[in-house]
Order: sequence, then structure tokens, then C-alpha cells
Amino acid sequence: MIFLDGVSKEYKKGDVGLADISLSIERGEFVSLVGQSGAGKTTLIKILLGEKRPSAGGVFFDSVDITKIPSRKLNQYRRKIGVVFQDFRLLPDKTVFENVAFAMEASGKKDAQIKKDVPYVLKLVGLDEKIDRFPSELSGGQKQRVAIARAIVNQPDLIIADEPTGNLDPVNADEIIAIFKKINKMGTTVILTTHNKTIVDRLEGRVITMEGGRVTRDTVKGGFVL
Amino acid sequence: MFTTLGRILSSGLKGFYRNFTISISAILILLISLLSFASIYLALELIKPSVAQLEQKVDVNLYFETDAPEEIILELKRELEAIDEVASVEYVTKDQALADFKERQNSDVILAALESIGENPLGAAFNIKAKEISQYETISIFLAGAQISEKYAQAVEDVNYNQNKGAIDKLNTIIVSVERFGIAISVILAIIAVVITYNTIRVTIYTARHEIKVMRLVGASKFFARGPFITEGIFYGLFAGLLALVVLLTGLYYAGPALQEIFILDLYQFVIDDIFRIGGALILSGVVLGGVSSLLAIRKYLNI
Repeated sequence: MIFLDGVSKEYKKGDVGLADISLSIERGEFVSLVGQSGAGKTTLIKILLGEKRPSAGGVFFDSVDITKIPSRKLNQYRRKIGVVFQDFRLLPDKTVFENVAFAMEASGKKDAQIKKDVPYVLKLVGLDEKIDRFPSELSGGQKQRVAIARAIVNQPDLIIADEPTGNLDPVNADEIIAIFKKINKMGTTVILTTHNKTIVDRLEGRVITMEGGRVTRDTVKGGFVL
Repeated sequence: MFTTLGRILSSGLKGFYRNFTISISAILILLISLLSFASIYLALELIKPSVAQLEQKVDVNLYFETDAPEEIILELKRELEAIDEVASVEYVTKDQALADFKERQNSDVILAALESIGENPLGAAFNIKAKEISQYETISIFLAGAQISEKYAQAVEDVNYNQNKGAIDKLNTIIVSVERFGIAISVILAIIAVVITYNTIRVTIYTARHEIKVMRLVGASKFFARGPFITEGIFYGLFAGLLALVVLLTGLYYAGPALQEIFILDLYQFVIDDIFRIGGALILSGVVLGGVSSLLAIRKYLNI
């Protein structure tokens, strides 16, 4: 489903973000992307989202090179992907319902469908009782669940989660990972970046280790090794 | 399409009242800009009648010899009236001049002296008005020509343009300077207003830059991400325009009579008479200023 062909990213002052990365990810996989800060995980994710363009190489999503998609059409590509960030990135002026509904509105879904789907996904992440709250009234774990609900509500092919548990305590972190597992079981591909060894070891899935902008290990059923 | 527009509108409205403090400050800045525009426009309108009244007082007089034949006088009048720049030629006949003189001089001695002369010592005269104050120069050149021409030299006694010339030129300079000054001030104020409004709105959008980024990342098109902010900007302008109109009318209602004593125009009535044009211009300027500022301010954050 995703294929990176010799992707490099250099920053202006000659700093290397990514150096010649080639890898492929199949539909339905649950991939953990690990590595120390500055290893290039976030750069890789930004390139996958079209937020940054690589200096060299191609990024293919279902055989379409996304580096060739013009900026004004990127939003249509992004609708196939759900993103979850470490800092949640909810819209502070919108309620829980509106935050999740926004992703559907942005992709032009009908009001009736929004009214049906939003409560459904909020129930899925266990937040159906907080539907009219604002993000400032929620705990970290609850905010992250809203973010997950927003990411999955358009039924994307791929979920990208960048350090989704970084700001959460272990109990909340486990619950969030459990939700991702559930989503993956339903057939959605998940890419998860994390620092958390326990989580990676317990997932027992594919682990891609990065260091200095390169992939140093790629094991099908691996653990957290640095 | 309509669903999208409806969503953008409702999202913009929600942003407007949920960020109430920011909205209020943006509206106030816009209000000040709009009021400055309106003040300058009205100040220019205010001096117009005064200037026009002064202009009405300016004319060029041509005095004829006492024995100037009537047909020569009438011929010169026709020639003058044929000149494009001439607005009117008032012919004061010998008899009329005498009557006017008698009316002004109610001293018996002078009237007795006049009586003793036995004949009318006054000549006929023209009061010539130009269409515009700058055109007196042209008319005076014609009159100077007439004064030495073979046909009229005998009849014309004097032209008083040169006596008035200084005053006319000065008035002319003042009017031109006032208009230029007004235009210059309007232009400067307009630039300041746009810059301040743009900056205020930029601050409101800066606080929302993460929001814009998130909108783009969850798949909103540029149009969909930008729409609510431009809607907000337009609402700022709409409210600022309405508020400016209310402030203006209230201010003029109280200040109008005092102003009318100094200048001739009743500004309150002037605005009321033209409410749709002036109000429309205020609201439209507000909407354009708010909308365009938002559009410019948001551009930077959309490129992801």
C-alpha cells in the first residue's frame, strides 16, 4: 500500500533528516516506528502526510506518487489517512462532537451521516458521554480519544499516530494502544511512532528502527531495540 | 456546494462569538479606520458650501465710459457670453447704476451734489462671473484685449480684475490646497487603516494557526479552511460598518447644529439625505477591509 523509494530529506543548513529510505508497508499491517529523538521518525511521517516534500525519491500510496500531488489537491489524499498527534491538536473552539464532525464536514459528508457516525465513533473510543464538552474540559487521555475518533471517522485506509501516548500515563497509554489494535483488527493499516519500549514489545508486530535518518532494523515480529 | 457554504458560514459565526474579545478588538480597530474615512469625507463636504459661497462673491467688473453707446455695450455682452468660461454677464445700465448708487448713499449732501450735476455721471457696468474660479484669468485676458481693441477702446473705462486678482488667486490656491490636502490625508489614513486592520486580523489568525494546520491535515481544502476566517473578517467589517454609521449619526445629531453655525451645511441632514450611499459605502468598506485583511493574513498558514 505504501512504498518509499530512496527517499531523502535535507534541510537548508545541510542537516540530514532522512537518508535514502526505501521500504514498503502492506495493507492491514500494524507497524511500529521507533528510534531516538532526531532519528527522522517525525520527518518521515510529515513526508507521508504531504506536509513536507522529500529532497529526493518517491513516496507511493496505492501506486500514486504523493510528492507529485499539487498542494491544493493534497487534502483529497489526506482524507484517506487519519492522523493522531502527541499533542492531540484538537480545535479548541469546537466541542468534542464538532471536532470529530469537522473531519467529515471537510470531506463533504452529508449532515445525516455526520449525525449518525460521530456518536458511533465516540462510543467506540468510550467518549459518548462527553459529546458536548470542549477540549479544555477533558483529560489528556480523553483528548487523545477524541483525536482518534476524528482520525477514524472517515474510515481511512491508513492511520498514522505520531507518539500518541507520549503525553499520557501508562494506564491511558495502554487504553489508547488497545483502541489502535481494535482499529487494526477491523482492517485499517496503522503506523505508530513511539519511544515506549513496553508498548512496542507487547504489540509483537513489525518494528522499524531508525537512526540518523536511516532505517537500521526492520523486523517482522520484533521488539524495541536501540 | 451549498452544504459547504453553509458549514463555512456557521463555523465563521461560531468563531466570531466564541472568540468574543478578539472579535471586539478587531471591530473597534475597523471602526476607527472607517470613522477616519467618514470624517475626512464629511470635512471635505463641509467646506464645499463655504467655498462655493466665497466663489459666488468673486466676479470681474467692467466699467463703461458714461457716453458709451448702448449697441457697443450689447455687442460686447454677446461676445462675452459666447466665451465658454463665462457663466453669466450681468448688465447694469446707466440708470440702474444711478439708482443703486442713490440707494447706497442716503447722505443728503451727496444726493444734492448729484442733483446739481444735472446729468447721470455714472457709466454702465458688467458683472462677469466665470464657471470656475481658475477661469477668471482667461476672461481677463479677453477683457484686456477688448480694452485696447479698436472697437471697444473708446467705450471701456476700466476693468477691475487686476484689483481682485490677488484675492482671486489666493482663494484659488487655498481651494486647490484644501482638496489636495484632503486627498493626501485620506490616502495616508487609508494605508494606515489597512495596515492596522491587517495586523489585528493577523493576530487573530496567528492564534488560530494550529487550527488551520489541523484543518488542512484532516483533509480540509484550502477554501474550506480559509472560509470561516474570511467569514469572521467579513462579520467584523459588517458590524464595524453598522457601528460607524450609528456613531456618526449620533455624533452629528449633537454636533450638527454647532457646525451649521460656522459652516453652512447641516451635516446631520446631509448624511440622512444620503443614508443609503454613505451607509452602504461604510459597510462595504468595512466588509472589504475585513475580508481582504483576513484573506491576506491567512495565506501564510495555508501552505501545508
